Amino acid sequence: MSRFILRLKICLKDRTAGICYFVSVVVMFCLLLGLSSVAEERSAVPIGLYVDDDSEEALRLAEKMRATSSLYIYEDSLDELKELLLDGYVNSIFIIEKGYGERVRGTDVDNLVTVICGKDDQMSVMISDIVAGAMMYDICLNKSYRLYADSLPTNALDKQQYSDYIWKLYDSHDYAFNFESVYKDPKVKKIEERQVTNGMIYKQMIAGMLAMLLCLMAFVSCNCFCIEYENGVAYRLKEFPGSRIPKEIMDFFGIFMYTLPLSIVAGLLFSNIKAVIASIIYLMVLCAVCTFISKAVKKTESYQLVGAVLVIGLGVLGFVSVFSGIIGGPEFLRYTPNAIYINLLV
Amino acid sequence: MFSKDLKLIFSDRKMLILLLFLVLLCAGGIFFCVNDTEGTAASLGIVDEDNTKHSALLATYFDENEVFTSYFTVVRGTREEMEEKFENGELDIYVVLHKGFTEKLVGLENTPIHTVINSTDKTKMVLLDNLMKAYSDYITSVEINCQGLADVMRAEGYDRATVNDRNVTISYDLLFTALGKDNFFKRENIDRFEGISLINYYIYSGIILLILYGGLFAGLKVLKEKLGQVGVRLRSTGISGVRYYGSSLLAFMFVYGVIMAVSMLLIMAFGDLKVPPKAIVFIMGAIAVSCIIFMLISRFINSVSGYMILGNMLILFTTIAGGGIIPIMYLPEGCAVVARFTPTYWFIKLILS
Repeated sequence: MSRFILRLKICLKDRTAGICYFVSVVVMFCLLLGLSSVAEERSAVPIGLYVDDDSEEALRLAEKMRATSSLYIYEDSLDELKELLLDGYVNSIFIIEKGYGERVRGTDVDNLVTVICGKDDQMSVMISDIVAGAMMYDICLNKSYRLYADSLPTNALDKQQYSDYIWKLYDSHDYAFNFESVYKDPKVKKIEERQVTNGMIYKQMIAGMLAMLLCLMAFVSCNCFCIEYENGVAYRLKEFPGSRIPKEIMDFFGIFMYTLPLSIVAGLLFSNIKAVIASIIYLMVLCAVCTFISKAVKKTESYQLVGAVLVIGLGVLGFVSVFSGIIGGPEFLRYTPNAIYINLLV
Repeated sequence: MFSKDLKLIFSDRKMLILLLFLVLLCAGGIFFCVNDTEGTAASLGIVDEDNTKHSALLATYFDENEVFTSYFTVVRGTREEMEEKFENGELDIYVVLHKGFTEKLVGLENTPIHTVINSTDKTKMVLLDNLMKAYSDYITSVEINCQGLADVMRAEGYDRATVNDRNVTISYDLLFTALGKDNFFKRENIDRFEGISLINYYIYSGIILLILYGGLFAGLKVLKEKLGQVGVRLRSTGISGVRYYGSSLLAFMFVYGVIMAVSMLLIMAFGDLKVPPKAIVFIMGAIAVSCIIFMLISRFINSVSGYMILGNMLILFTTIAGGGIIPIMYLPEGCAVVARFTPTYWFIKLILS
């Protein structure tokens, strides 16, 4: 027990390290908290919108696009939007072309909207599908009115009256066609109760950053063992009475206790007890691994090298695992440590 | 002085062997990840219990949708077959076009389509949910206009046969319009702008991380020498601080330059990555800047642990704020302003342009 207290004292006595620890963690948490607070809003795909037509149909499409929760719209001059695209701030630019309204009314539906995007960009194809959904309202209305007006011998309603009736149906919600989706995990046969939102992807990324932060803290905190080997203290400590294993375990618990507040705050960022427990367990595992590595490597530079690869490697594998399902990544990615942590948090 | 610094770096053989092993491990990992991605990643099942022309037409939406076919393998079968495949983890989603679907679609009553989505993979679940919502917009538009036309015709006294005839005509027309939605758009690829795959994005981000960690090592060496009074001793022999730091910087730049060049060659030889010449110039410049910054930081800190914490956190902060983890377009606007001061942002921008 005295070894545990001694280790904790050593960690806390290095004031420079303590200040660096405190400042770094506060800055990182402010950043992660900032990201977390905009998760829902910023998980929408940012696109540029340029409306080159002032018809009622064009304005209605623009309004529908603005109201779509999965899109984050930037509106500016075309040159400015192209700048944003080149700088990587928007995925693509959608231009509602001049004459859009007139062509929709004439049921000519080809090339109504121009999409400027990167070569082979699949995301813009997906966005086009969402925008097409918004365009369908006016296109279908005009097609059905054309059939009504052109193919029937008598028609009592003019275009305005017909449109008013169709819009009344839209507003009534009785005809809103929906999918009744059930989200189910086939392995445990459990049905997902939470509401599915785009923010879930963003939150997975934040969980990945937290995993990286925990990994980094465990790794830098265990560096003290290497320093002790380098200045000979570790060898002198071996002369103390008692068997080696309990001393090593107490060392590990000392480091774990030093970093424990970080794991609690990390878990609290997700506002649930499961996240706190997952963070504490994950940090405990990381501290054990890093203690082992530092005592095996013994040199600060070598330890930093192995640690950097460990942090970057686990971090990158964790982030790629978030998208491995849609990019066809290897199955093992889902079982990497950071991926398991991400899955537990979100 | 420069050659002595180089000798000093290369004198630690264990470290060099470890470095070589880790470089090979990273290159192998990248090669494995890049080459192990498949064309389609998931499966979508369709159950057509209605078996009408309309339901068959709707089911083709999934077969012919570019988004679906690029990510999903579409399979058809009975409800039992799909349920079994889903339970075995062979399907990520299945959609059931229930019996009487067409009848309800063309204006009698509205009931939702039943879909079951695998919740194991959250990203895929969210993506599928979005696609289903977009699909529901198409069907709503078709259904409302079919219903609206039928209502108006009935109100004007048309007989049942005429109403049904026009209903079938308009529902076919609108369904075909929905299926041909790609024609609504004219696509223009912007000059010299190419999309970047997700794995490659993280590999590029990893390259910048390696550069930053290189700087951290240089700073660590300087810090340890400072704590060992090496600088003071060298000054007593007449070697100035500028010469001492300058030669250390050059030695580290040379070593990291060689390591990065070898890593790049390995990545480009075995992976699917392109690094333009100007990006290589950027990498060399970034190595110099990274070494200088971390050497400066080490001048103001007297604790190795403190330096390690601050240095590592600074690297993580720079990577997050620079869009190395969440792409810049998804970051809050405040973060996007900070990003302009990070190497990750400029490197990704160079690669994209």
